[in-house]
Amino acid sequence: MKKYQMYIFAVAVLLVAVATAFALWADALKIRLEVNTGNVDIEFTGVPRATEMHGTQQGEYEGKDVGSCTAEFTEVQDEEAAAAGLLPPSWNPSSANADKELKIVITNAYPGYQCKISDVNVKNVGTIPVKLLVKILDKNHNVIRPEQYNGGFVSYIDTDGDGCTELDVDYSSFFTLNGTQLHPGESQSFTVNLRLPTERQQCIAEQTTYTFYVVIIGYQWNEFP
Amino acid sequence: MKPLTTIAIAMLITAIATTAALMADTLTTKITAKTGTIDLNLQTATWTCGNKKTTVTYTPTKTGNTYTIQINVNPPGQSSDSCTVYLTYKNTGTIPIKIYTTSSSGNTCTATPTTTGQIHPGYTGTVNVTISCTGTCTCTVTSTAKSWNQ
Repeated sequence: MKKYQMYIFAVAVLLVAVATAFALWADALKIRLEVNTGNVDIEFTGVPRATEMHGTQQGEYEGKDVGSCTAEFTEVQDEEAAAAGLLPPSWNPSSANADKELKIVITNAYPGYQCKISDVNVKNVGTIPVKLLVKILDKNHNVIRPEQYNGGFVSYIDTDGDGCTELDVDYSSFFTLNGTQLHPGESQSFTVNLRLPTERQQCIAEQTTYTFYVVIIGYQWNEFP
Repeated sequence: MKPLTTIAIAMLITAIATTAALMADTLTTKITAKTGTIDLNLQTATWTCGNKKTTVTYTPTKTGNTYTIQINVNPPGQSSDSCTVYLTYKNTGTIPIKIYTTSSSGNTCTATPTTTGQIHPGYTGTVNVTISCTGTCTCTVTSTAKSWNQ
């Protein structure tokens, strides 16, 4: 074997040795982390039923048919705006866009008129337990704090911000949802009891529309404020 | 590898915590309550007197749901007479009403009934005002419509 051939052979052996060593030294370990989050999702279920009342009796006073009260599930156009101010700025509202809302319409009402909405439930259709929080908002989406009497059974609210309370929302109705925990698949029924109190008739104007919102917020149970 | 793993786990925990803070859903109930109206309108005012020559005039003034009606009775030659004025009101609002009527004091002026029965929207009710005078006299009647359930 000639001398230069021996050099070539030696270099080749050296390269193989280096390559082998490099392959051993450059080995890598990878950790793959995969997190699949659940979702918080609540929706209304049931078939809302509107019943006119006077006191504890069904129907209007003396059996008359003067006012009317209806309740249905429908898409309320501005509901996202109404609720947005109650949630953290980073809240992603997309999870609520498809929900039908509960719309209650009372017409030709008068002091003493009373309507009860029943057969409505809030259901947890997500995958994480939720706790519910109820807020009342006026037509401008400001939070209303009820003026409560008789242990909350009478709860006057001022929906038009004139400093005079014109409606009574029975605190024992939808407020009972506050703090309720629903596991996935569970639901909780509630009612809406609304009255135009004769004792506050000085605050009730004729031919006027009073608008307010009841917002139910479902927080994941361990983040309930 | 150990420090890198620690950092990765810390980042993961942060990501989960951030995600958890965002999880909420809302349901909204929109409630609108539109009130009706209480209103009345004086449709007619007619009268009968003992003496056909007695003159009767009236001036109605309406403020809100209240009519104030001034009635003047003028028997001829300062004589005495008794007249009954029939005030017919129509419920021009949207809910049933009762009409509460008062009259100026004195035996010479009496309104009946002081509270009418229920008058449904579109229907009428009549208040009778009896006035007894010797010479010219004036009676002021005030009728106010209120909701039937009050």
